[in-house]
Amino acid sequence: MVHLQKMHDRYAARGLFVYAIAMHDDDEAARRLNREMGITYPVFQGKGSKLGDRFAYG
Amino acid sequence: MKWIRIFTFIAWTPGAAMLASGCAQPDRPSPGQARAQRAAGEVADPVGATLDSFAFSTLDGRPLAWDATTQTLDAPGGGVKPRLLAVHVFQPDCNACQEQARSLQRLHVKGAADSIAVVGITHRGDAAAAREFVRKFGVTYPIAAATGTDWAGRWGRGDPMFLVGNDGKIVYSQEGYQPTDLDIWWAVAADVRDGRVVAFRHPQRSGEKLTTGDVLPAIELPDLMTGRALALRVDDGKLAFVDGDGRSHPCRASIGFFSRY
Repeated sequence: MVHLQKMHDRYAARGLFVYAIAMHDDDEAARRLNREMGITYPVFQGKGSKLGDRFAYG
Repeated sequence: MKWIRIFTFIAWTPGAAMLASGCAQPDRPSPGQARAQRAAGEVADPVGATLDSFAFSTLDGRPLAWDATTQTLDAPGGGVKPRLLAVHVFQPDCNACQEQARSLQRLHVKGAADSIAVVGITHRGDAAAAREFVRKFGVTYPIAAATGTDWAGRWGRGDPMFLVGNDGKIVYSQEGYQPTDLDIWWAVAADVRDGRVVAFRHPQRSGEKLTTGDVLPAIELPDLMTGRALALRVDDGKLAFVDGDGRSHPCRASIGFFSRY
């Protein structure tokens, strides 16, 4: 996540869109972690979504 | 157009596939794609392969080693030549891995009398996380923290579990976990015990693996942080991110991943 944040910081202005799809059970814990790690790229809420159910893996 | 073509590569991150995508497919691999392919070095289909030897230490510093030549496991309690060796290559903070540990613990406890050995080897997370994993889930089978090793890099993709026969070859592998898997492991163990030939890779059950050239549906989900609607989609043939205020931002490419934190 930290490395992707660096990619976001460096390349967003050049057209690279970095994002995450959160699959965490605890939304508040995920938000807290995002804040603590300084994540500013968009994080979609994917838990319970068809997209997450279909493609999240591992 | 509601689909996003993946044109570069898929990498595997803690518990998640990473997707790099754009609107077009290049004629030949990009330097980044070629580099990713070279760096991967992973075992494409482990069933039938010989699990590489390893020599790690348990979390309390005792040897945990597998000799693929002699099919001997050196673990706390002494060296054994198990009829079946279960190796879970995992990350301590992965939800599926945690659930799987409960079943592996049952396999460890009940399978010992049938010459079944179980070990866990981390490919992500540090020793402290592994210790917490052991404490939290009551794991008593040996665990080694191998994050960052070549072995873990080669065998750890997808948090797999391998069942290794007494000839050192992998007879069964799976990625991901469901509670019914324990029944499958027992069935495989019975087949191995009875001398039946086993070579079985668990079919994909949840989470379709995407690969180069696949298309990913447009992402239209709430923002985790604000709850506002976000989207990544192709508008008029161009990839665009739509923010929480409904503004569209064109992007040349995207990198995303499913995160379990």
